[in-house]
Amino acid sequence: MRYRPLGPSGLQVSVVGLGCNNFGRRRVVNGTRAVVDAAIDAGITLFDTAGIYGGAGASETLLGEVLGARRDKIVLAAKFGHGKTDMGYGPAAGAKGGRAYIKRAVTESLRRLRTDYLDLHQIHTPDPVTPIDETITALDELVTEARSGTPATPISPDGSSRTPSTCSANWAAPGSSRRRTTGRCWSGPRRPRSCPRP
Amino acid sequence: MMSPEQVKANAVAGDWVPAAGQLAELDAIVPPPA
Repeated sequence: MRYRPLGPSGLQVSVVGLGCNNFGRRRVVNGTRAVVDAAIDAGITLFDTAGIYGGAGASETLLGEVLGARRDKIVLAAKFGHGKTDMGYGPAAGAKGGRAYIKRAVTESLRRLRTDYLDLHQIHTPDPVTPIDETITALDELVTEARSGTPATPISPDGSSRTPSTCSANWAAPGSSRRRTTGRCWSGPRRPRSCPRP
Repeated sequence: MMSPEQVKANAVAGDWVPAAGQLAELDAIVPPPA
């Protein structure tokens, strides 16, 4: 397997990635495990999933279950905010490119994936309602929070802001030594910040 | 439906380094961005 840099992110990825949209819809847990095992054995390190894959987070859930301790062996890319799919986050989360929605989405993805960091977090489809600056700023906040280990403004699972003392424990596991979230919006005007692997 | 065998076959393709002639064929099918 050959590997190459993922843009200026500091991450190295295999030239062949694994699309995980089959998981949950066509592949239940044993089938998912067989495919993931084969991919890792073949040296594939880029795994691409999304909240909507498999329906209502099923791909992320299955992937989290079968990865286990191998999470750190891969570069995990997730996506949020598909325009045509309701993830059930409710009206408090707001528009899918908005700050509250992004933070709710990353919280839910981390929980389903059983991890405390994402390597790449991308908007799935453009949000025609939210100004792109708000989307980019929210993603930048995730990166900053991951580096500092302290959520700037914790968001509870219902999308509302809370004080740190009542922050959801699911929020990117403050204090985790491996915590790292790289925000990136493919349609955004700015390049992502460098986020080298530890 | 994705299978482990398909994943292994696709992974092998990752080692393919196109020769100049093959790249020209690919460029003819999908022209590079202007």
